[in-house]
Amino acid sequence: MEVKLYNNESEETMDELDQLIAHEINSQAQWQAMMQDWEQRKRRQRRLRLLPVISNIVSVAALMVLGFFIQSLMPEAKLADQNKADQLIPVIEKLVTPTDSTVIESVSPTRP
Amino acid sequence: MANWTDIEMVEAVLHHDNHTLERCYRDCKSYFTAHAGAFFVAETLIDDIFQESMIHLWREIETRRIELCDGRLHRWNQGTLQPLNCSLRTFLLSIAKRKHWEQLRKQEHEVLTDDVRLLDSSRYGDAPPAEADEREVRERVVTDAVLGMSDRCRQILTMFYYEHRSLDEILALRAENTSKVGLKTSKYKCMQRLRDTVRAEFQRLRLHP
Repeated sequence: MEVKLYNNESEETMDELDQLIAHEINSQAQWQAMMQDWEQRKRRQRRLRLLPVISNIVSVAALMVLGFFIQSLMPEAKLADQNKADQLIPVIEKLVTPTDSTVIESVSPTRP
Repeated sequence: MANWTDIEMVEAVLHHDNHTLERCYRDCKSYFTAHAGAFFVAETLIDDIFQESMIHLWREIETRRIELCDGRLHRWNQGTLQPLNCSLRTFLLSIAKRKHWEQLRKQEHEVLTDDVRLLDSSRYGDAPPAEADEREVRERVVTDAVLGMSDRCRQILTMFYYEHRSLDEILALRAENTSKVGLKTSKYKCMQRLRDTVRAEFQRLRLHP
């Protein structure tokens, strides 16, 4: 029995033996494809399992960086506040010390 | 310890139960990876040999060379049905060992050939099979012949018959072939060798070609 055109490219006709051989090639190739599919799925599952772990590591690292950044700003803030306080102290002292009223009016707080 | 039985695996193959097959595949792979180091010299070959061996095992089950009989696995060998005296995983390792030696021999001789490995005629027995078994014996002969193809032939014929690629597409994908005429000749030779190998065995067993 002859069957034409097992593959559209081919002009040959295939007898029963050729069909048997082509069918066997197909069967083995199907098994191969199935195994490759399973291997790819296994790799995808492994990547998905790692995703939450990586995400947590990145979050913690980001928080640490933010923390360091905030901490690094704090000494300057303290210094700025301290300077303001130093400048205001004489003014306050003068205000609270009883003196001639003209002296009080002439004193004004200096700006940093 | 396997979480499946050999019988479960045979039934999964025959009934195309892909879910069970995947589970069996993963178990076999773990077992194989754990034990292959004792047999194989080249670790780079392990994955390829494992996959080829699994295909070989599944095809033996599909063509009923390995079959369930009286609640126990049997295997056709030398034309007679004999009990399989080991687990399928152990049998898989024996297939793999043979393939490994063949690979090493190929590498040693550096032969690039389109030859098909000669069939071991003793596997089919000397007497012609009974009429009821003819179809299965024919399938086994063809299965063994195709399993014994060179990698080169396998690639060309798989691309042509399974992936339905044109010769032009195959030529573009294979650097080894430089002309369409050459590729067509290679394909023809691969098929011809398969036909000759199978026909010779069919003649010996007096099967219809």
